[in-house]
Amino acid sequence: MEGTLRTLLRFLLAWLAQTFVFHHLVLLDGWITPLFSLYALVLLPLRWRPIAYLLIGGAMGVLTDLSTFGGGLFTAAGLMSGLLQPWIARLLAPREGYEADATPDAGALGWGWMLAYTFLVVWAHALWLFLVEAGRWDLIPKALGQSASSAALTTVLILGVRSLFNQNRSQR
Amino acid sequence: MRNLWQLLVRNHVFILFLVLQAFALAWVTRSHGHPRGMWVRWSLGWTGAWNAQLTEWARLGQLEADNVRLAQENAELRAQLMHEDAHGHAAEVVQISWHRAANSFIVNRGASDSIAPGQAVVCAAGALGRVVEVHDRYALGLPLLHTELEWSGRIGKDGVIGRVVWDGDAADVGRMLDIARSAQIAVGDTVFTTGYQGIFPADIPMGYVQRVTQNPSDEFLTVHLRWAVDFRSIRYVEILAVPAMPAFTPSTSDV
Repeated sequence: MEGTLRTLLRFLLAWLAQTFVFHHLVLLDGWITPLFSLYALVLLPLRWRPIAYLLIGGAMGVLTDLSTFGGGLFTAAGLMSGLLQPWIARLLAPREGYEADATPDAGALGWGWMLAYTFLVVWAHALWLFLVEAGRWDLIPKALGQSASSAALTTVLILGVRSLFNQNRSQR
Repeated sequence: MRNLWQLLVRNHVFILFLVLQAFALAWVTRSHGHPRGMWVRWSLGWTGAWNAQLTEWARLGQLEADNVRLAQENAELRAQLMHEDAHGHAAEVVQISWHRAANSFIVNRGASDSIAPGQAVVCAAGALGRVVEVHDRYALGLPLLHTELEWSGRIGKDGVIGRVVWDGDAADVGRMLDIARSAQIAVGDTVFTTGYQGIFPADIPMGYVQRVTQNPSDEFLTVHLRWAVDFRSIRYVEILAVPAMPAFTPSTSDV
């Protein structure tokens, strides 16, 4: 119950932060677009049923679209990252697999794993977001570049916030 | 039949993804770049208020009151100059994007100030865009920087007419298409609005000719222009309500 509440709170805070803060912090003509609403998605437990990631990713996308005039872009991208998230987790799984209640945690799985997992989930989202938004063949190279740079920044952001929370918890 | 059922069950997540993705892409196609409707008005209310607050914080200490008064005066004078019946409202841009393919902006005037969809938004430098949706206190508009919109432009005040478009790349340059090869165009010429679309009054600067290229595939020229407005630093604008043109009724003596 406490875990569910914490997850819900995390989604709410990530959505609010994206809508009120990070949506306004687009830098370098859109080459750096923070996608902080993915924070809660990335931290979902690793062994949920695949359909859960898809539905949660889509729902988060709908909310973000409604609050930032995304017009369906974030929904399409949320569905894509939701579809690929379990596949990415399987791709990066340790030889012995994940424990039943495993969550993305640098302490247990290592910073290298955390970095790769976060970047791939965020990149899947950003890539689809920028490709659908571009909507034209000649804008695809720009969309590829924007998705990679934005995914890199968002990964740093997510891991930075995560490590801050972890630090606070360990100090307590 | 059983095999088909098993196939569907085995791939139910992917099938659901395809269905939901189709809905999402339909939403993108229908509304992308033209955000309208109840949800947009609802969202415009509180995101507009938040953006206005952000703008206020960012500009604390500036000569706010003087600027607003001057902008209001400027709007009215400009409206009178552009069209004797046009009515201008000064507004402040509280949010604008220029990095997306379908950009938008929010101004702090809305339905309670008689702002309505379809009205032109201009600033001292030239044409900015048009209003597409309004909330009581805020309006959402689409700027010239929008890959799915075309604008009508004229080179010089009595020159050739063409379509003005933005190709989604650099935020400071646009293109003018369908210009006959015989047209006389010089670098630095001003591209004005024509007034044909019923959005902008005629003769508002849209941009300045940077260079002209010959299309290899047809008989037309492409004019590359630098926008008159710097979309990155836009602040005060004027929203113009241009009354509809009266219907043309030829007199018998013209026939």
